[in-house]
Amino acid sequence: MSDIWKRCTVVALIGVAAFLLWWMHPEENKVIPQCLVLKHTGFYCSGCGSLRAIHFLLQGEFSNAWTMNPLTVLLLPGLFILAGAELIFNRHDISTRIRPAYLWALIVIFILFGILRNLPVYPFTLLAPH
Amino acid sequence: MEEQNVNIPNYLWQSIVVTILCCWPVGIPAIIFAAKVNGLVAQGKIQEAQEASAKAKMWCWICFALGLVAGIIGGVVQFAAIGAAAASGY
Repeated sequence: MSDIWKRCTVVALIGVAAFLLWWMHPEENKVIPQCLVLKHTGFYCSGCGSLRAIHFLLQGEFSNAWTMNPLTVLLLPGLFILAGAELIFNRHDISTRIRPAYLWALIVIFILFGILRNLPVYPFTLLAPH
Repeated sequence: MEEQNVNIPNYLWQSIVVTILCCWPVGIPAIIFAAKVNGLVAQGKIQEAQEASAKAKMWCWICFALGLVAGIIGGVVQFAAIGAAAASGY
């Protein structure tokens, strides 16, 4: 019983977060603070631009979302499927059946993406939020 | 050795969400433990899989807490800056 409540709460929180992100532009709105790492080091993490990317996706502006963070845009459908399987159908096994090698690859991609998007050379500058 | 119906959470989607939105250096271990859960479940080592699952959960919460604290600090600093700008405007 308590498990169902927990899952409903998480679904509700995701809904609220999605509504707020649809409503507010993370960059122009002063309520959403800028990431401390970006602010003080100017370094783009792998996740940099994710809030803006999700905001643009919710607004239906796919190309704007893609320029903010292509990795987040690519990962979101997978996250949606896994979260849905767990929260709605209580199926943890779908996520557990993914081969560990794919997850190791994901970690490597994550770190490489974080390094490459900081290079100030042409093709890599496309990976940084712009 | 029974493989069916092992419903052990690996916290994969949670760890990816906190890695993207909160603090990636702490989110990476969470994804690593998710990968370990998957390997252990495939081998039928349920006990060890549950231990890895607990660790994945722990890293997710650490990452989430760090992101939350950083967000609150960032918010306070930002509001202080807005306040200072407004005060100096007079």
